[in-house]
Amino acid sequence: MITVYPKHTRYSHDHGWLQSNFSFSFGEDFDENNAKFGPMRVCNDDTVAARRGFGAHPHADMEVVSVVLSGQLRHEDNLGNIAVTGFGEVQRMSAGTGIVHTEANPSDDEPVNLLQIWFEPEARGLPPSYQTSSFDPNGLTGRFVPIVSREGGPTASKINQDLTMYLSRLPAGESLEFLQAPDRRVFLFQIEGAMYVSNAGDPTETATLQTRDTARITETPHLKLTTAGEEEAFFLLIDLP
Amino acid sequence: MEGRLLIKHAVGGRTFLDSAKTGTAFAAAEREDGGWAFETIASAEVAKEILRWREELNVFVFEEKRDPVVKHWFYAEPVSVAYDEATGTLRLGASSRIEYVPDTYTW
Repeated sequence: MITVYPKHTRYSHDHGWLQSNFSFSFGEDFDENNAKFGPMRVCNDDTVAARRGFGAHPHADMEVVSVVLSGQLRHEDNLGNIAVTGFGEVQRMSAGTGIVHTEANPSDDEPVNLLQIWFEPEARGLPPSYQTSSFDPNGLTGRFVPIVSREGGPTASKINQDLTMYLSRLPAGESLEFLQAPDRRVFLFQIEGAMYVSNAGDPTETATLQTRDTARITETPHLKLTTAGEEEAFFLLIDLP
Repeated sequence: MEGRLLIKHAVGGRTFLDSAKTGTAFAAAEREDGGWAFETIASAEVAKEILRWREELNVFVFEEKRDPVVKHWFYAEPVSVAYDEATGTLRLGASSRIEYVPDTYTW
Protein backbone atom coordinates (compact mmCIF):
# COMPACT_ATOMS: atom_id res chain seq x y z
CA MET A 1 0.00 0.00 0.00
CA ILE A 2 1.32 3.41 -1.00
CA THR A 3 -0.02 6.30 1.06
CA VAL A 4 0.94 9.82 0.03
CA TYR A 5 1.10 12.65 2.55
CA PRO A 6 1.05 15.90 0.54
CA LYS A 7 3.28 18.60 1.91
CA HIS A 8 0.35 20.75 2.99
CA THR A 9 -0.73 18.05 5.44
CA ARG A 10 2.39 18.60 7.55
CA TYR A 11 2.21 20.62 10.74
CA SER A 12 3.82 23.90 9.67
CA HIS A 13 5.10 26.76 11.78
CA ASP A 14 6.83 30.04 10.98
CA HIS A 15 8.68 31.47 13.94
CA GLY A 16 10.55 34.04 11.88
CA TRP A 17 14.00 32.60 12.46
CA LEU A 18 12.69 29.07 12.01
CA GLN A 19 10.29 27.54 9.52
CA SER A 20 9.31 24.02 10.55
CA ASN A 21 7.29 21.34 8.86
CA PHE A 22 6.57 18.20 10.86
CA SER A 23 5.50 14.97 9.17
CA PHE A 24 4.70 13.29 12.50
CA SER A 25 3.21 14.32 15.82
CA PHE A 26 5.74 16.66 17.46
CA GLY A 27 5.51 18.91 20.48
CA GLU A 28 2.26 20.81 20.70
CA ASP A 29 1.19 19.30 17.36
CA PHE A 30 0.21 16.22 19.26
CA ASP A 31 -1.59 13.59 17.19
CA GLU A 32 -1.67 10.12 18.67
CA ASN A 33 -2.82 8.73 15.34
CA ASN A 34 0.32 10.02 13.63
CA ALA A 35 3.01 9.24 16.18
CA LYS A 36 5.18 6.81 14.26
CA PHE A 37 5.84 4.68 11.20
CA GLY A 38 7.63 1.58 12.35
CA PRO A 39 10.49 2.89 14.49
CA MET A 40 10.38 6.28 12.79
CA ARG A 41 9.06 8.97 15.12
CA VAL A 42 10.04 12.36 13.71
CA CYS A 43 10.64 13.85 10.27
CA ASN A 44 11.10 17.58 10.53
CA ASP A 45 11.89 19.78 7.51
CA ASP A 46 13.47 22.82 9.15
CA THR A 47 14.91 26.04 7.76
CA VAL A 48 16.94 28.05 10.27
CA ALA A 49 18.01 31.65 9.70
CA ALA A 50 21.66 32.72 9.77
CA ARG A 51 23.23 32.79 13.24
CA ARG A 52 20.18 31.21 14.86
CA GLY A 53 19.50 27.76 16.22
CA PHE A 54 18.32 25.51 19.01
CA GLY A 55 19.89 26.11 22.42
CA ALA A 56 21.26 23.34 24.61
CA HIS A 57 18.70 20.57 25.03
CA PRO A 58 18.78 16.86 25.83
CA HIS A 59 17.81 13.66 24.08
CA ALA A 60 17.63 10.09 25.32
CA ASP A 61 16.94 6.71 23.78
CA MET A 62 16.55 8.09 20.29
CA GLU A 63 18.63 7.93 17.11
CA VAL A 64 18.68 11.43 15.62
CA VAL A 65 19.81 11.93 12.03
CA SER A 66 20.32 15.36 10.47
CA VAL A 67 20.62 15.59 6.68
CA VAL A 68 21.64 19.07 5.58
CA LEU A 69 20.15 19.95 2.20
CA SER A 70 21.60 23.47 1.92
CA GLY A 71 23.65 25.74 4.13
CA GLN A 72 25.48 24.57 7.24
CA LEU A 73 24.56 23.05 10.59
CA ARG A 74 26.78 23.24 13.65
CA HIS A 75 26.46 20.58 16.35
CA GLU A 76 28.03 20.79 19.81
CA ASP A 77 27.40 18.33 22.64
CA ASN A 78 28.34 17.55 26.22
CA LEU A 79 30.53 14.65 25.04
CA GLY A 80 32.87 17.17 23.45
CA ASN A 81 31.83 16.69 19.84
CA ILE A 82 31.75 19.79 17.67
CA ALA A 83 31.01 19.50 13.96
CA VAL A 84 29.81 21.69 11.11
CA THR A 85 28.17 19.86 8.22
CA GLY A 86 26.80 20.88 4.85
CA PHE A 87 25.21 19.11 1.93
CA GLY A 88 27.16 15.92 1.36
CA GLU A 89 27.42 15.21 5.07
CA VAL A 90 25.15 13.58 7.60
CA GLN A 91 25.07 13.85 11.40
CA ARG A 92 23.97 10.84 13.43
CA MET A 93 23.45 11.15 17.17
CA SER A 94 22.61 8.12 19.31
CA ALA A 95 21.22 9.65 22.46
CA GLY A 96 21.18 6.45 24.55
CA THR A 97 21.34 7.24 28.26
CA GLY A 98 21.45 10.94 27.52
CA ILE A 99 23.19 13.64 25.58
CA VAL A 100 22.85 17.43 25.58
CA HIS A 101 23.52 19.33 22.38
CA THR A 102 22.99 22.52 20.44
CA GLU A 103 22.15 22.78 16.75
CA ALA A 104 22.80 26.09 15.09
CA ASN A 105 23.38 27.81 11.78
CA PRO A 106 26.93 29.22 11.92
CA SER A 107 26.60 31.19 8.70
CA ASP A 108 26.46 34.96 8.84
CA ASP A 109 24.06 35.26 5.92
CA GLU A 110 22.79 31.95 4.58
CA PRO A 111 19.87 29.92 5.97
CA VAL A 112 20.24 26.19 6.54
CA ASN A 113 17.62 23.71 5.38
CA LEU A 114 17.79 20.29 6.95
CA LEU A 115 15.79 17.16 7.47
CA GLN A 116 15.91 15.95 11.04
CA ILE A 117 14.69 12.40 11.45
CA TRP A 118 14.34 10.47 14.71
CA PHE A 119 14.12 6.73 15.13
CA GLU A 120 13.56 4.54 18.14
CA PRO A 121 16.74 2.52 18.74
CA GLU A 122 16.82 -1.26 18.82
CA ALA A 123 17.59 -1.13 22.55
CA ARG A 124 17.27 1.39 25.35
CA GLY A 125 20.07 2.41 27.64
CA LEU A 126 22.84 2.42 25.03
CA PRO A 127 25.88 4.63 25.55
CA PRO A 128 25.47 7.98 23.78
CA SER A 129 27.54 8.64 20.68
CA TYR A 130 27.88 10.97 17.73
CA GLN A 131 29.14 10.53 14.18
CA THR A 132 29.35 12.46 10.97
CA SER A 133 29.70 10.77 7.60
CA SER A 134 29.97 12.02 4.05
CA PHE A 135 28.84 11.04 0.60
CA ASP A 136 29.67 12.44 -2.83
CA PRO A 137 26.93 14.97 -3.72
CA ASN A 138 27.76 14.35 -7.38
CA GLY A 139 27.47 10.60 -7.01
CA LEU A 140 23.71 10.28 -6.41
CA THR A 141 22.47 10.08 -9.99
CA GLY A 142 20.68 6.91 -10.98
CA ARG A 143 21.50 5.01 -7.82
CA PHE A 144 20.55 4.59 -4.18
CA VAL A 145 23.42 5.87 -2.05
CA PRO A 146 23.22 4.73 1.59
CA ILE A 147 23.82 7.58 4.03
CA VAL A 148 22.78 5.84 7.26
CA SER A 149 22.62 2.12 7.98
CA ARG A 150 22.93 -0.37 10.79
CA GLU A 151 26.26 -1.55 9.42
CA GLY A 152 27.60 1.87 8.47
CA GLY A 153 29.94 2.12 5.51
CA PRO A 154 32.06 4.43 3.36
CA THR A 155 29.10 6.72 2.71
CA ALA A 156 26.93 5.86 5.70
CA SER A 157 26.77 6.65 9.39
CA LYS A 158 26.08 3.68 11.65
CA ILE A 159 22.76 3.62 13.47
CA ASN A 160 21.35 1.44 16.24
CA GLN A 161 18.35 0.30 14.25
CA ASP A 162 17.60 -2.10 11.41
CA LEU A 163 17.17 0.51 8.71
CA THR A 164 18.93 2.13 5.78
CA MET A 165 18.51 5.69 4.55
CA TYR A 166 19.31 6.36 0.88
CA LEU A 167 19.57 9.49 -1.23
CA SER A 168 19.05 9.40 -4.98
CA ARG A 169 18.74 11.69 -7.98
CA LEU A 170 16.77 10.58 -11.02
CA PRO A 171 17.15 12.51 -14.28
CA ALA A 172 14.04 13.26 -16.27
CA GLY A 173 12.61 10.23 -18.04
CA GLU A 174 14.48 7.69 -15.95
CA SER A 175 13.43 5.01 -13.48
CA LEU A 176 14.88 3.03 -10.61
CA GLU A 177 13.58 -0.08 -8.93
CA PHE A 178 13.87 -0.75 -5.22
CA LEU A 179 13.61 -4.24 -3.77
CA GLN A 180 13.43 -4.95 -0.10
CA ALA A 181 12.95 -7.97 2.13
CA PRO A 182 9.33 -8.90 2.86
CA ASP A 183 7.39 -7.44 5.78
CA ARG A 184 9.25 -4.14 5.79
CA ARG A 185 8.30 -0.53 5.21
CA VAL A 186 9.51 2.31 3.00
CA PHE A 187 9.34 6.00 3.82
CA LEU A 188 9.87 8.37 0.89
CA PHE A 189 10.60 12.09 1.11
CA GLN A 190 10.49 13.97 -2.19
CA ILE A 191 13.14 16.63 -1.70
CA GLU A 192 12.94 18.19 -5.18
CA GLY A 193 11.06 17.50 -8.38
CA ALA A 194 8.25 14.99 -8.80
CA MET A 195 8.12 11.24 -9.08
CA TYR A 196 5.74 8.37 -9.84
CA VAL A 197 5.91 5.62 -7.23
CA SER A 198 4.50 2.29 -8.41
CA ASN A 199 4.08 -1.21 -7.12
CA ALA A 200 6.26 -3.04 -9.64
CA GLY A 201 4.15 -6.14 -9.05
CA ASP A 202 0.92 -4.24 -9.76
CA PRO A 203 1.53 -1.13 -11.85
CA THR A 204 -2.08 -0.05 -11.37
CA GLU A 205 -1.02 0.91 -7.85
CA THR A 206 0.73 4.20 -8.58
CA ALA A 207 1.05 7.46 -6.72
CA THR A 208 2.65 10.77 -7.54
CA LEU A 209 4.89 12.69 -5.20
CA GLN A 210 5.43 16.41 -5.66
CA THR A 211 8.22 18.40 -3.99
CA ARG A 212 8.19 17.93 -0.20
CA ASP A 213 5.44 15.32 -0.32
CA THR A 214 6.12 12.09 1.56
CA ALA A 215 4.88 8.54 1.20
CA ARG A 216 4.55 5.68 3.67
CA ILE A 217 4.65 2.33 1.94
CA THR A 218 3.86 -1.10 3.32
CA GLU A 219 3.42 -4.57 1.80
CA THR A 220 5.10 -3.41 -1.41
CA PRO A 221 8.57 -4.95 -1.49
CA HIS A 222 9.22 -4.05 -5.12
CA LEU A 223 8.90 -0.42 -6.05
CA LYS A 224 9.40 1.36 -9.34
CA LEU A 225 10.30 5.02 -9.10
CA THR A 226 10.05 7.18 -12.23
CA THR A 227 10.69 10.87 -12.63
CA ALA A 228 7.55 12.83 -13.44
CA GLY A 229 7.88 15.90 -15.62
CA GLU A 230 11.05 17.41 -16.97
CA GLU A 231 12.79 18.18 -13.72
CA GLU A 232 15.22 15.86 -11.99
CA ALA A 233 13.77 14.02 -8.99
CA PHE A 234 15.81 14.16 -5.77
CA PHE A 235 14.54 12.01 -2.92
CA LEU A 236 15.27 10.28 0.36
CA LEU A 237 14.22 6.64 0.72
CA ILE A 238 14.25 4.88 4.08
CA ASP A 239 14.02 1.08 4.30
CA LEU A 240 12.49 0.30 7.71
CA PRO A 241 11.26 -2.67 9.71
CA MET B 1 17.93 20.31 44.93
CA GLU B 2 15.91 23.49 44.52
CA GLY B 3 14.61 25.22 41.46
CA ARG B 4 11.96 24.59 38.87
CA LEU B 5 10.79 21.09 38.06
CA LEU B 6 9.70 20.39 34.50
CA ILE B 7 8.49 17.13 33.09
CA LYS B 8 8.14 17.15 29.32
CA HIS B 9 7.52 14.74 26.49
CA ALA B 10 10.89 13.84 24.99
CA VAL B 11 9.47 13.96 21.45
CA GLY B 12 8.96 17.63 20.76
CA GLY B 13 8.95 19.06 24.25
CA ARG B 14 5.25 19.14 25.16
CA THR B 15 5.13 20.18 28.82
CA PHE B 16 3.28 17.89 31.22
CA LEU B 17 4.25 19.56 34.48
CA ASP B 18 5.91 22.90 35.30
CA SER B 19 6.28 23.65 38.98
CA ALA B 20 6.74 27.35 38.23
CA LYS B 21 3.29 27.52 36.69
CA THR B 22 1.50 25.36 39.21
CA GLY B 23 3.33 26.78 42.23
CA THR B 24 3.83 23.23 43.42
CA ALA B 25 6.71 22.26 45.61
CA PHE B 26 8.78 19.24 44.76
CA ALA B 27 11.43 17.13 46.39
CA ALA B 28 14.50 15.86 44.57
CA ALA B 29 16.86 13.68 46.52
CA GLU B 30 19.92 11.76 45.55
CA ARG B 31 19.63 8.03 46.19
CA GLU B 32 22.31 5.84 47.70
CA ASP B 33 22.82 4.12 44.35
CA GLY B 34 23.62 7.46 42.72
CA GLY B 35 20.22 7.85 41.15
CA TRP B 36 17.58 10.43 41.97
CA ALA B 37 14.10 10.29 43.47
CA PHE B 38 11.46 12.92 42.75
CA GLU B 39 8.19 13.60 44.46
CA THR B 40 5.57 16.26 43.75
CA ILE B 41 1.84 16.84 43.73
CA ALA B 42 0.02 16.52 40.43
CA SER B 43 -3.54 16.33 39.25
CA ALA B 44 -4.88 13.01 38.10
CA GLU B 45 -5.12 14.38 34.56
CA VAL B 46 -1.45 15.41 34.49
CA ALA B 47 -0.36 12.15 36.09
CA LYS B 48 -2.30 10.18 33.51
CA GLU B 49 -0.35 11.78 30.68
CA ILE B 50 2.97 11.34 32.47
CA LEU B 51 2.22 7.68 33.08
CA ARG B 52 1.11 7.26 29.48
CA TRP B 53 4.41 8.62 28.17
CA ARG B 54 6.63 7.22 30.94
CA GLU B 55 9.01 5.74 28.39
CA GLU B 56 9.63 9.16 26.82
CA LEU B 57 10.01 11.68 29.61
CA ASN B 58 12.46 14.55 29.91
CA VAL B 59 12.80 15.50 33.56
CA PHE B 60 14.51 18.78 34.37
CA VAL B 61 15.37 20.90 37.34
CA PHE B 62 16.32 24.44 36.35
CA GLU B 63 18.28 26.45 38.89
CA GLU B 64 17.08 29.81 37.64
CA LYS B 65 18.36 31.82 40.57
CA ARG B 66 21.90 31.07 39.58
CA ASP B 67 23.70 33.24 37.05
CA PRO B 68 24.16 31.78 34.55
CA VAL B 69 21.23 29.43 34.85
CA VAL B 70 22.20 25.83 35.58
CA LYS B 71 20.01 23.10 34.16
CA HIS B 72 19.84 19.48 35.26
CA TRP B 73 18.41 16.80 33.03
CA PHE B 74 17.63 13.36 34.43
CA TYR B 75 17.49 9.97 32.69
CA ALA B 76 14.11 8.88 34.00
CA GLU B 77 13.31 5.26 34.86
CA PRO B 78 9.96 4.36 33.28
CA VAL B 79 9.25 1.62 35.81
CA SER B 80 9.65 4.08 38.66
CA VAL B 81 6.86 6.43 37.60
CA ALA B 82 3.97 6.08 40.01
CA TYR B 83 0.95 8.06 41.11
CA ASP B 84 -0.95 7.86 44.37
CA GLU B 85 -4.41 9.05 43.47
CA ALA B 86 -5.50 9.32 47.09
CA THR B 87 -2.82 11.88 47.94
CA GLY B 88 -2.15 13.22 44.46
CA THR B 89 1.53 12.33 44.85
CA LEU B 90 3.58 11.70 41.74
CA ARG B 91 6.85 9.87 42.21
CA LEU B 92 9.55 8.99 39.74
CA GLY B 93 13.15 7.97 39.75
CA ALA B 94 16.13 8.63 37.53
CA SER B 95 19.33 6.67 37.18
CA SER B 96 21.61 9.46 36.02
CA ARG B 97 21.87 13.19 35.49
CA ILE B 98 23.51 15.65 33.14
CA GLU B 99 24.22 19.10 34.48
CA TYR B 100 24.63 21.75 31.82
CA VAL B 101 24.89 25.50 31.51
CA PRO B 102 23.27 26.61 28.24
CA ASP B 103 25.23 29.87 28.18
CA THR B 104 28.51 27.95 27.85
CA TYR B 105 27.57 26.51 24.46
CA THR B 106 28.74 28.70 21.58
CA TRP B 107 27.26 28.95 18.15
